[in-house]
Amino acid sequence: MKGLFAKSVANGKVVVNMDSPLSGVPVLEFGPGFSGAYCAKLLSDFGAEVIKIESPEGDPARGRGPFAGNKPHPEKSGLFVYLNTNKYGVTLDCKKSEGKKIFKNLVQKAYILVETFPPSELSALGLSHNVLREINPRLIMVSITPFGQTGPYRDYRARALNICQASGESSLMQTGTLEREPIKDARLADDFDCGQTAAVAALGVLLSREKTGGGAHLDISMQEVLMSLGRVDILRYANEQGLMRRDLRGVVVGGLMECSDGYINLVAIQENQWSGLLKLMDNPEWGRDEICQDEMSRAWNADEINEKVQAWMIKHKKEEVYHRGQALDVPITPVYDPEDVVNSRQTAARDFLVEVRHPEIGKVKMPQPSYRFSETPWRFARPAPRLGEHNQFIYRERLGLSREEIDGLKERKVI
Amino acid sequence: MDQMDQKVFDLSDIRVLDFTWAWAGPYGTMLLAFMGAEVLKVESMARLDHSRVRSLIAGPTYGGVNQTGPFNELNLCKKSITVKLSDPRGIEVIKRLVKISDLVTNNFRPGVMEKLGLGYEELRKIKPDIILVSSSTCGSTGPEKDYSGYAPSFSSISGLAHLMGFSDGPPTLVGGRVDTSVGTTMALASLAALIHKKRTGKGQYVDISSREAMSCLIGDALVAYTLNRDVYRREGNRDEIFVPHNAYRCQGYDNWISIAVGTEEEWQYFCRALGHPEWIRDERFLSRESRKKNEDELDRLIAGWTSGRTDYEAMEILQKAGVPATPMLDNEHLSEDPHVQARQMFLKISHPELKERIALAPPWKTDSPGDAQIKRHAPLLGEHNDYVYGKLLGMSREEIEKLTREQVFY
Repeated sequence: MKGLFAKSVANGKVVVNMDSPLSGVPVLEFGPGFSGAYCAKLLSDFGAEVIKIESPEGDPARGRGPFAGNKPHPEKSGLFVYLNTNKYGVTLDCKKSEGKKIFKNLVQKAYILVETFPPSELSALGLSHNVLREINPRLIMVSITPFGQTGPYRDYRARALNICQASGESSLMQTGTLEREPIKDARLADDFDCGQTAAVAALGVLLSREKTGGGAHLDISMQEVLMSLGRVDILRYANEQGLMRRDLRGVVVGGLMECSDGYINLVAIQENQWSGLLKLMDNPEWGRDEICQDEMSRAWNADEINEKVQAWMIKHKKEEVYHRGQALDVPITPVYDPEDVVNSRQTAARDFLVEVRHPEIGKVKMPQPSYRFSETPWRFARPAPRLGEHNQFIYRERLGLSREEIDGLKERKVI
Repeated sequence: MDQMDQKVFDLSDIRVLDFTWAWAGPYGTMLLAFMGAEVLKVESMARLDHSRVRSLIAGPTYGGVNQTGPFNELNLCKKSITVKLSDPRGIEVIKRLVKISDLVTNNFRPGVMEKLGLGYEELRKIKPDIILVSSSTCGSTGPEKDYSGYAPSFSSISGLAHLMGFSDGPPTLVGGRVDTSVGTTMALASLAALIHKKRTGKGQYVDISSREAMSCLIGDALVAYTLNRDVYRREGNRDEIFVPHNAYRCQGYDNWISIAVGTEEEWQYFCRALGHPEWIRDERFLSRESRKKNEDELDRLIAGWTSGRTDYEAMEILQKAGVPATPMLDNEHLSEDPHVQARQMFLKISHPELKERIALAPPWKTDSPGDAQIKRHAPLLGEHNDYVYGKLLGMSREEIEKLTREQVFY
């Protein structure tokens, strides 16, 4: 690829036509877990040419559902499809010296490497940043690990549950009691969020390339990403000793409330939101009480007011409250489950779900990214790869190996 | 050149005209500012960013618009200008700033920028390659585009809240961390658009839906429904594959250790570390499936062990044995953790009104120590009026004073 920012110019006019922001940018994805896969997914959604390197045994995400037909099968994981649509897939055993050689050749041609190995393991493989930057000085190596590349916990093992608990997040998850355990974020959300921050860092370096010469080792600690996301609460304690805890809810007018068929979240702090809420409830008598007269006194008496609002809510359905409330400028939102989200008319209107093909699953609808680009919309490039699907293509096209050489590698279990 | 001196991020040639306010947008533009972009935050006394006035929780009252916690946490390294957008002269000045900017960001309700005369089509007339990134609760299209919400609203309507909490309890709304996640999405989209512009000379309009951004974080749950009509439920700390996978009470007040066993290997290390190698051959726990089936019992047995140890003791024993385990750290104890200290996440920065504030380092480290530093406190209100109007736009001293007197720069 000619220079990332080299523009073809004819008659003084720019004539490069890029379908996507990262068209033609080669990215490698390597290592266990979900955060690296999600980071690379975000890049592939921007059109990057992402090669996912799996061990010959395959990415463990292939063993996690949802599975088509609810039958576990390594080529039928809906999670795998969500994470890896648009990527190429190869297999490689980097413990073998032939495998290391191939990996280094791939690195030579890559702009970005996303990896998630424990630091000591990558060193032991002889593939640390010190080694790789000799091969490719402009490589942007994005290392996502639980605790970062340095520090006493650098080799500690951790999964999303552990990171969530160790970052302050779980201590804040509002369960209303200290009697029971602190809980984690939803499913793989924390893994994905760490991948998202890592992608931001990678693109920041890429954009800086002309000024800095490119080349970087990005040390992304998942604990620090989650701390950064939770920074306002963390710093409230550090600066003001304001302790937030899972049993200490800041009481405001509104919050989670039960409807006849589910839950809603209500925000009714400001004057216009409050008067909208009163209108929604058909202007009850108690709305004229003194405690309701201004924002300050409502805040002081929030518990009492919330009880009265909740008594009204429980008699109504969540969709009705949602639409009528919003029409009156009250920020009310229903608590949706995945079925509600999929069936929402807003989801349909924005084509949030796109249909992707997969050779084993057939067709499946999954979310597209939440950002809509007017010039470079998201595109379906290729289905999520079957295990080793692009071994021949990538090793031949990118590394110039012959079919026989590739077959030999497979025989020797290098790929 | 010495590797240590070499900058890794340098977006100093990128100027962002930033209309974002509250929490989500500002966190996103702050990430760009961390990387060196010049972020001009557009503010006004006539309509203060509510994070300068309060946090949404009825919390502490602050000593002034430059002293609030949330504002100071979310606007580091930015510049601030005051200008009244309801005054046509203010809009004129804004348009002159658009002409010298690369990116315009906002998280207003859809339609607000258009009403101000600053919609994408208008901006394009001023600067053909401008990038406009807009973020709103539901996005700028669709039947619900005018609906409003805050972070807990995004967590509720995106499907996230439904999937958090105990299986026998209500859904769990999430606040701040949702805002900052959406802000991160905004930064990501902005950088991609900037890269595209650098490669092609073309700007574009990017429309972000906050609720969709959160739904993407539970994309696997949406696929479970589209694929199989399965509706996933909340399960506390449990996981459908990994077992044991929970937080267990330890010695001391509200001390917990989280344990996440993910492989057969880890399970064996775990049993031995607890002094229960016989569990490896115990019928109840022989396979992953049987462990899942007997998870309640297993959790009880584990709690029996953890209750005799402090959280850090348990972590040390388990990590030594190769088992993923961490204590629950709350905001009080986070800064005391030896690893957090070694990584220097908590930084002291000087502030003209507050003397000194503690800030959190950026969420990335590089080989260049400068990238882990915070170069400047959040701006005082209108702190950079002279620089932006005088130096960048070349307005005269008299003109600036006049517009300040007439409350255009206000």
